[in-house]
Amino acid sequence: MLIKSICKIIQWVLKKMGRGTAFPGILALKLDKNFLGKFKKPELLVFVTGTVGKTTTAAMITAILKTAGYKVGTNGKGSNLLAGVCSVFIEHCSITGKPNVDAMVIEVDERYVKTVLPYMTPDYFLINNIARDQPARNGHFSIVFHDISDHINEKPHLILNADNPLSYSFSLKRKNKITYFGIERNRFSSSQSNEKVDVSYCPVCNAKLVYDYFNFGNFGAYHCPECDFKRQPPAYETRIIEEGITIEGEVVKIPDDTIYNAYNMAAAYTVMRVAGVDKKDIIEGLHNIDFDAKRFQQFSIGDIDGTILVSKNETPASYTQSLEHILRCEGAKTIAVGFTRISGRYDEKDVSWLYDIKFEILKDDDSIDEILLVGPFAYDLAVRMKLAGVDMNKIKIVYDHEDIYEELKKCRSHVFCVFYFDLSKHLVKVLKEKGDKLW
Amino acid sequence: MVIAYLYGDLLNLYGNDGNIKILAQKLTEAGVKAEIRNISTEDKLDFSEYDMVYMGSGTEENQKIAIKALKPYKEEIEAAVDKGKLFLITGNSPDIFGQKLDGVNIVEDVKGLGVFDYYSEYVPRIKMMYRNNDTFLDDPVLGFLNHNYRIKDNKNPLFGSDDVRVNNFFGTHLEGPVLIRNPHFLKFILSILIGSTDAVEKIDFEMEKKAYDAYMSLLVSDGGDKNIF
Repeated sequence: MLIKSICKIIQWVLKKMGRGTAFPGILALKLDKNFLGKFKKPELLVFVTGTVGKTTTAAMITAILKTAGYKVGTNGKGSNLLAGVCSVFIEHCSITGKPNVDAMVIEVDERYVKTVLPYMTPDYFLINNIARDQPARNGHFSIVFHDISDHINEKPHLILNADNPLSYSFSLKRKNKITYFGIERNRFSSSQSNEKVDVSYCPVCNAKLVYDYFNFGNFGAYHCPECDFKRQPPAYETRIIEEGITIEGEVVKIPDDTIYNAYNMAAAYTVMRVAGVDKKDIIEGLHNIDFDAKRFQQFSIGDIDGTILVSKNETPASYTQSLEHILRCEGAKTIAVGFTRISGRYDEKDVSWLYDIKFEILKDDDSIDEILLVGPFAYDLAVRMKLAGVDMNKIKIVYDHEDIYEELKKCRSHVFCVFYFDLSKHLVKVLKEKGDKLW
Repeated sequence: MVIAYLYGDLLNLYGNDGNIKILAQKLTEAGVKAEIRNISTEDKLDFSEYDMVYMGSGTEENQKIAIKALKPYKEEIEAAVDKGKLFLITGNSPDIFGQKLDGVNIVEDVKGLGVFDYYSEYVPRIKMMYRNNDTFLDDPVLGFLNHNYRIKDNKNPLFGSDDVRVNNFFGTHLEGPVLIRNPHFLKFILSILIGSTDAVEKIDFEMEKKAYDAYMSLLVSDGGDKNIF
């Protein structure tokens, strides 16, 4: 079918449906599975993929481009599968397939890169990181790596994370132009990782890798004692200071003061810099970001204050970050951990990921008054806490998640809720119904 | 008592080390002094020093590194199995001990250690929850499967034809903290390890049992209660 007729139908549907869904893409792919290949690339096309930070980094890049005066199309939150990518093109192209924007910034789900790359090659391809995540979906990180690697041709300029060995590995045996981003050792760094090390042996010669330090999770400096597999110098080395990050002499505040947002900024900065965007515009764009990147919501119920930290189950990098953030906050605290289901995507009820999260960091912290374990997996969490050496007198089981509101009222200190989407949604709903403060 | 944790730095997918953690905790509760010996590929192995050997899941690349490291010990492993040494081998590691990992022309063939006669055959990735009511244990065995090979020519099934038991060598494709998910299997392994059922009966398994029961009731309320194997 001609792209013209498909687009006409779709644009009619779009008018009826409103924007921001993958639906137009789904429909287009039903009519023609090679649909994406019929579009022309805009002047600047950036793809962003990786395990964590895709959405935030894509939002940062979009904000920078807008500051620099580009007309930008992006898929924003969520719609990052093939149909979502198609939807961006439908929305921002004329009926002949010609883009009416200067640039597109497209977040691509790491498992769907293989469905997109055969039809569309970006100018810049940012691979933020690859880490262990959602076993029931991904199998394991090495499968995800090959899924992406096997589909990259020699054309895109790759922007890789020097600090993440799996991201760096995309450079091996490749002729593409490559630029690295990375962050120096800093106040978040430690000699031990709070996560399982995904790449402990050299992917080139199989010798045991040496890690000099970890900035977080699997991000840090590493080298192989036998061959030249090692952290590459970033093009624009990023440092962390009290006020934020410094990069090429400029200082920018880090949203939520988290190390992962510092990485997102370093990545966005580097992509934009190599794409030739003016340095001043990049910095201004990063300053201006009105943050969706904030994952934290605050609430208060009577005298009790709380913070909701939405944390992805099965993604240790996300979960551990939440826990580390809580422990860095001063004062007495209560921690609530929970979820009603493991995944929003599938029905597998695997709990092995609980053992890839280092709950051990909670064990010797006297500032923790109490730990609430919420939902139908509360006992699995309790077993995990006991094995982590947490004082079981501090543990309270809230098996029925509907009880969480009443339980929060009984807390003695600031409550940090490490909740999956389902439970945070539930809590926000109840807080609104009860007329409690939420911001 | 020494538990050898083989290649935990190399084969560390899916929270396998939960099995090691729970063994250490329960042995302490039973008053048994236990040492977990973390063993890396560069370390020398001496099976006479170990009361139990544990090994978990790794990526396909790392499996090959493990096979290379274990190859010189093939005969010692065979002798240890013959003598009834306790091995718990989970996830995709049972494949390492067979004749080969047959790639069925899709991926490369990999030669196994050849300790046992079975071999493993490449299949599209199996990712599913597992429940088996029909095993030598009283209660159903629960778990998670996430692997690419299925055991063939298996004369010694453990839970089913995709699991292996030879003397006290227990190899299962179940992923992650198998022992935690199955407190009855944990008890069984502990009785072999300690050599006394009485000592095991004194250990508290309440929390693990509650987690087990909660999972079973979730299966029922979901209507997703399938006996897969």
